[in-house]
Amino acid sequence: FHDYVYLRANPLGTQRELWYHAAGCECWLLVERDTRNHVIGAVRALRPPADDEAGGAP
Amino acid sequence: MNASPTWRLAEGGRIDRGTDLRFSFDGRAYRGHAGDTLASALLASGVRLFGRSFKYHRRRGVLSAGPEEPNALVELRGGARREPNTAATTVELFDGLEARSQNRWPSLSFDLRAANQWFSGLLGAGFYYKTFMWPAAFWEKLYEPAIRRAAGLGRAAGLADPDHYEKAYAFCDVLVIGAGPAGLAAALAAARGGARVWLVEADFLAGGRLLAEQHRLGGRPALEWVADALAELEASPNVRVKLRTTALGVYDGGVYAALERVADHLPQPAPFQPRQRLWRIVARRCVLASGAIEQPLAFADNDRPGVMLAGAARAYANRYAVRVARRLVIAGHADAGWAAARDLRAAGVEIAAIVDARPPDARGKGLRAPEGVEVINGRPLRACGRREVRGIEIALADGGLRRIDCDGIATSAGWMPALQLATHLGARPRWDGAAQCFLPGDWPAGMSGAGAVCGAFGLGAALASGANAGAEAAVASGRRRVDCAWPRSEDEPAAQAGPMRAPAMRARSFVDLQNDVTDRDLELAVREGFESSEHAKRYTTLGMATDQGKTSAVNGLAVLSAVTGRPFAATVSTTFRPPCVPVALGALAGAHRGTHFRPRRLTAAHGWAEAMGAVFIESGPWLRAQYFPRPGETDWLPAVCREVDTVRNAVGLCDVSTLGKIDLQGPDALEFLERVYANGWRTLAVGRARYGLMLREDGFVLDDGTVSRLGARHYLLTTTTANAASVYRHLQYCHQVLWPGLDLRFAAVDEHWSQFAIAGPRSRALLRAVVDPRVDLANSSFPYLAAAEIALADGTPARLFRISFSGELAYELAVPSGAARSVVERLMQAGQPLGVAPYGLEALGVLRIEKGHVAGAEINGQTTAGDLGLERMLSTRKDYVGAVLARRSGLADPSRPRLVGLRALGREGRLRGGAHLFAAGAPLEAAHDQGYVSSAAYSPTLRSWIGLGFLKGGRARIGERVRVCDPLRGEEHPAEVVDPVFVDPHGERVHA
Repeated sequence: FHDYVYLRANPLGTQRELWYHAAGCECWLLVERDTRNHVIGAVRALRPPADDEAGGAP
Repeated sequence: MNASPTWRLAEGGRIDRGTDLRFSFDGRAYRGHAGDTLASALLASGVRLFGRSFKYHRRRGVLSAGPEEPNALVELRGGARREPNTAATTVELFDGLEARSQNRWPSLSFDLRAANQWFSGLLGAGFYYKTFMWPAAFWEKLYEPAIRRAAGLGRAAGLADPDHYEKAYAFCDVLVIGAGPAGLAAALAAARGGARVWLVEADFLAGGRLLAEQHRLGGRPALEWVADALAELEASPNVRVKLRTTALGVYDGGVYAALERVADHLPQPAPFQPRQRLWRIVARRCVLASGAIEQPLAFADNDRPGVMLAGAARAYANRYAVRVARRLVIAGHADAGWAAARDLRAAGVEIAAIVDARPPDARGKGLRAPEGVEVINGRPLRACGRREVRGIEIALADGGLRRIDCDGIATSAGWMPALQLATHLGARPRWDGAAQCFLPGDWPAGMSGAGAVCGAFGLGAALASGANAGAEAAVASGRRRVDCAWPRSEDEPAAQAGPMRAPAMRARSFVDLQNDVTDRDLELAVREGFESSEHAKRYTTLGMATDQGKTSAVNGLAVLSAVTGRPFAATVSTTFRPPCVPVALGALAGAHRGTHFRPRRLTAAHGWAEAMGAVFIESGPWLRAQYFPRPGETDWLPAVCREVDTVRNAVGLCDVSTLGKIDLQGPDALEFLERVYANGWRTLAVGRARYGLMLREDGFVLDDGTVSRLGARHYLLTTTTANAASVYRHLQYCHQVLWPGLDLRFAAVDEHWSQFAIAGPRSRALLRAVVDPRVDLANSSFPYLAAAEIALADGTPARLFRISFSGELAYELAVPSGAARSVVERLMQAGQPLGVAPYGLEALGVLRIEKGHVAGAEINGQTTAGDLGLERMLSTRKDYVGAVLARRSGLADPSRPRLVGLRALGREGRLRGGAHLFAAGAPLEAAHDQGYVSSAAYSPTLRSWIGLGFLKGGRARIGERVRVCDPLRGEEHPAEVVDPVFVDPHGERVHA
């Protein structure tokens, strides 16, 4: 569990990381970024798609 | 003395002799012309001594004629506009310019600290790491200030900058950096192909080296071609030409930074104009045509005033019509020096000799010395003369030694491409054996080069490569390719040998002139194991000055290669990072300074607090009422004490809308709470509130707050003001990333609801006056920690919570923000007979310290629930974020400092946040440090200074006396360790 909290792989190349769209839709995004040149690969919202249509009351 | 005619040539130059400009240097008046730089105008007036060096305070003159200048750094202007460390070679002269030399004491020509050089044995590489190690306590107080005063550059103004700076954005197809021949050709080719072109040039004139040399293009003077090219570009609607604009950095995705010096050439900016403008340019393609930088030659005493780059001497003659010496020796190992000799002689400088280290067959084909000039095959050993150059000693290639008298030495160790911008994204330059220079390695995406930066040193080659790069960039950005014909040029021979290490001598030969790094320093660094170029750089500070090694990095590598025996081609050049020239912090800040640094948040009832005469204080992004002084209260303390008394004895009103508020609903809301909070929620009934503690994943406390259950599946969470944004983000993370399966929704409702604390024994009476009469406020029906959705007397919907931060009978009333001001005004009016008073952030702090409530100062990211005395809140019956790591031994260690109350003893006793705690009688040493004061306040209720703090042993030490020491302020007071709850420890008041 210690490893989960503290250790990061820090690869040279593609890395999957979490981005938070703070000033916008407040989505957490799973972003693939190349650590050598910051080229962004795939991006996927982690929020289940059902959320987007409802957006309000359960 | 003024305007000495002997140094200014009678004719020629790109200066406007009709415009006389007056300026001063070190208080003395001089004259120059429009088109001069400060350096050229001073040289024209016979000034050769410009400054003192960084470490040894040696006399320094001008080395270069451009932004690579390491020596002639001056302080410009005065007062709040004082600006240190500007290269005199880049300062465009204006009328009334004031400049001063730097780093000299008491005066430039007589500097006592020049004695440093006699001790240079002690001041070698890394000297302060070694010499001043012992005793350690002396470092901060004695050594460091003295070293900083003695070594160094200019002084900052120390006053607020009166000028404005702005940031601007630009988008284009092709960005061309540099308006020399290659850059102009590239811009023309791209523009003719229809591309939107930006052309930026650091100088105030376009032309690059064409300004400094005498060339003909297609039978005409080359500058006529420059004028035509510039005119065509400026007339094109798709082209922007920006002179006085330096490209600073290259970033991902085709983003470039450039600094436009809008008004640096004026005494002060024109009205409503910024002084500088920082451009962020987004370009599809970029053509780097930044040219090359001539490298100086290393030999003993090569820093004497009068030693200059050959290309610079040539620039002063051709561009500024200034003779830099009467009798000059040209020394080096590049053809460029020979070409300079020709122009300088034409300008009336006597060329005593050309000293070339290369044997005749290694020189450029067709290289010819000007008639009558002696060519010597050899290398300079030493510059003669103590105050400035009086001669040169030469080691002849055939073994002899020779001395020549001269008053100037022009050196050329070859031109190195100015490739800094090509390496900002991580590419390494590569050594090119044929061209004998570093060339850009892998180009960054979207960038290509043209001209000297890619080794195309001749004029014809520069034009051809520029035209080609421009045309290709136009195509690559989706425009047409246009191939243009270019005028013919005669190229000078441009062969050069790679850098050479200085011949061994007793006297110092300087590799980095700006940071006073010598050949021997580098040798020492290698001997001590700092062999790699990056290590040697950091150990000796080679190339770490404001010029970033533009004239020293290559010579430094030559020394490293010679000392380590590694072939030169195998040495790795050090990393260049943006910005590639020094930038004023003001330009980077732009308009974001002072109150514009970031947006300021105001609560909905801010106008009410203003009307009540509040004094405001910044609290995170918020501007909050600090206290509400009444007439006669001249200081904050009486006002705060009165406000505290009002809460303890009558009723007070405080705007607490800045708390984070999160509305959580859904079938899985309860499960979510169970997982994100450390304490349990299953027993929380509808209509009740409870205090909650959140941990971070690593087990430390994240935040505290309350959760109120407004309905079966409806909760309202509050967070602290400071952590509102981070807690909300954390909850979003938990929901979206960790448990997307939980069926719930939540939203931040900070702005929708305004919240007021109504605290004090008469708070119930006050509330009765404003809420719907049907709301039963009796203690039995609405007890401590009750929560309900109610209506006010006028029907305004509201939420009422019986929670207390002050320890008194208290409520928090939330109303829609639109109604905030009218509700709070009604409360004030209704409270008049009850003695109501508003209270601010200070009183809020005093009240919570008196009650022992922890806040941001205690929940500081380094404290555990146990440290805060809240270990019983950690549920053992469920799993939650942070549960595992909160149990690790380091965090559960009973010897960790734990929360206690502190009460100052004696009438003078005072506590301050940040002070450290020591056992009575223990010495004041870090090893005996037992904790610290986190919050402190004067308590009017207890009539003494009290505080909360963390102390080893915690509450077991209640009753003990400790020393409270504040070494920063030199204060020490005795204090008694007490229970952190100072007021009403049994909670009778909150339940009243």
